[in-house]
Amino acid sequence: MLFINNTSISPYFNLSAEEYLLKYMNEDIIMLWQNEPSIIIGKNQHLESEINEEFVKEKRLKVVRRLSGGGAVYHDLGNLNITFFQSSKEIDFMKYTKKIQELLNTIGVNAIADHRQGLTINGLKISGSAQCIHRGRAIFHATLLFESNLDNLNVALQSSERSLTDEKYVKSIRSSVTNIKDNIPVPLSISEFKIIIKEFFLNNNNLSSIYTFTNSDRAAIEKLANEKYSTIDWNFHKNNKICLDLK
Amino acid sequence: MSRFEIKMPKLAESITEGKITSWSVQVGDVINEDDILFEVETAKVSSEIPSPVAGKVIEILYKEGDTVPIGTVVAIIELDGETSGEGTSGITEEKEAIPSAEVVVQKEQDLTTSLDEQTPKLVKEDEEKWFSPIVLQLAKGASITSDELNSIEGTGYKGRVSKTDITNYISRKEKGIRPQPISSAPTAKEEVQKTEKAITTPLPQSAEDTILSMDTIRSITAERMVESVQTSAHVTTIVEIDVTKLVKWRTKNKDSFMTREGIPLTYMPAIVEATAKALVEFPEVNASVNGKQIIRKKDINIGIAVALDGWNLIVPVIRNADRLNISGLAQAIHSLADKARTKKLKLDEMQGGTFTITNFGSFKNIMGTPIINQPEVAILGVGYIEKKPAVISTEDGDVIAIRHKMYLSLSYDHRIIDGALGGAFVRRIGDLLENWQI
Repeated sequence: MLFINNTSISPYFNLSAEEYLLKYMNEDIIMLWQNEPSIIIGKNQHLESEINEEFVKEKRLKVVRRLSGGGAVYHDLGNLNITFFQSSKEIDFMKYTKKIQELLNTIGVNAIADHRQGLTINGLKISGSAQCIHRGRAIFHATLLFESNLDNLNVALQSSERSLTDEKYVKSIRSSVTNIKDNIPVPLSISEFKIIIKEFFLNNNNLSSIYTFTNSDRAAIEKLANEKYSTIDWNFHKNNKICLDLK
Repeated sequence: MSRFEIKMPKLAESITEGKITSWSVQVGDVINEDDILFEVETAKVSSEIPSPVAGKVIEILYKEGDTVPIGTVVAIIELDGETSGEGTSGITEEKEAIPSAEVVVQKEQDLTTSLDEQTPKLVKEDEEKWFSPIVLQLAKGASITSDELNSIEGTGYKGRVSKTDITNYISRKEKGIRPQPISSAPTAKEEVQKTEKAITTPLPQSAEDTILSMDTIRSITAERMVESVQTSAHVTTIVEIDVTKLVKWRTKNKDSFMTREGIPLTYMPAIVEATAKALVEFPEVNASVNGKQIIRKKDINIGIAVALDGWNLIVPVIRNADRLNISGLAQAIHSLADKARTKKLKLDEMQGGTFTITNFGSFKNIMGTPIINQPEVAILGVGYIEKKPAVISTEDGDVIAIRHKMYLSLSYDHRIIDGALGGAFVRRIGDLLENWQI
């Protein structure tokens, strides 16, 4: 198992890194990463129905479509993301949710999994997840709200547009949220928590080692970011384009 | 001709159905094994479903938005005459969803030979590139030459040109010829688009200009430099120091050093040693910033900026520089610089720096305002050593003498280092070098 501490905070780069590690590497990988303030929407969502356009403009949030399914989430530097990559014939996503529960246990948080593989404390959501499968290899990623700006989170995901009735779009399910930081017995900073996460996964897995992007990894990821994840085509018109293709 | 049923695959444990979010093919399309047929999303799992067989799509049974139980037939493919036989029988459900690499390679070769007859011109131009029939068909329809086709960068499996790639290419090409209609008012989408991308003004260009793409090191450097300037509050202060003693020391020792160590003695080991000593005394400078936190680093790892051929730059790192003596530092600097220039540096030899030194004196520049190498908080610029007339105090009063002088420039992050600290730190390095003794 390889552990990647991805220090980029560009959502374009980070979502490209997910696709790159899914499609072009074979190893089991855990990647820890963060995004600058942004909204990340699910692969099959209708963008305009999911975001507050006024707020996005005002706060200059980046809006990026990811490869995995699920609903829209708000990211900032108070939120941590963990992505698991695994090549397997029998994919069971529940085990990743359990791993994250174990991780949270080490800092004294007893999080409950909901039926959508999200995690809650006292009924308030602290973690959401989404998955993608590509030719026998899967990714499972989870967000961890540690000290996010929850006011921004709530406003950013309030769209003024009526949600579409078209069945092919995936609609977000709104949840009340809380920060992990406000629910832990001992004060902990986000950088300390990151170190705990890293040690948790490195110590919990045999033969694990730290991996850093090589120059060619980086170049390929940046290329993908430029050609896909930062483009209007992918982020905004994805669904429309497919409709046109089929006419 | 036999028919092959495409079924909704089982995506993962506990998932019993899948929603078709889009079809990538339509009835009548000729597809290859491994071409994406449709996309599924269910329970937040998204997946592109590739075809286990090559053939012609003759039936699509469900539309976009339909939710279908796993195992249900969603489409029917008519198998190619040449590749049939395998298709209908032995393939298990797992194999349908995840074709093994060996099978793919074998089939590829089969298909290439059969395609040669169909479109000899396009394929023979470039033996290495391979295109699916649908791509060739679309290319032919849009009068795309084989050279053009070869130049399209594929995003498909193994870098192949996919149907989407060729469609995008054709539409871009068409747009390039025909001007787009001007829309009367910008839509909301377009405005969001503006906030997404940095506003760029078109650069004036003449026919004589040469346009070059940045190589990887260049583009990483560009990104990091801008990132650093945007992250840190840069401020630079400069001290002038008298290094006559240091110069004498080097002149006296350089021959014996060469004989003993097999490498030339430069000023850099002394400068690194003085810097490491000063960092031990000023741990505030051996640090990083994380949000509202200051992280003081335990290790003193000093990066040395090394110029490469082609005007690029790389910064190998001497780990635990405070624990090495002059010979150790000289060997480390020599070996890292050599590896950097011959591109043999390992990743861990470029990472983990806590402070950086850039020696622009080596190209006879005297002082500068270097940019901090993130996530560090300070960088030392070393100037050219030159002889100057200097006033020195003696018992008999002030006299003018010829002395060796140099400037040390320190850029530091004013977020956490104020003038008194930054100034005292660079002065301390200067004092150590002025009073050089070993």
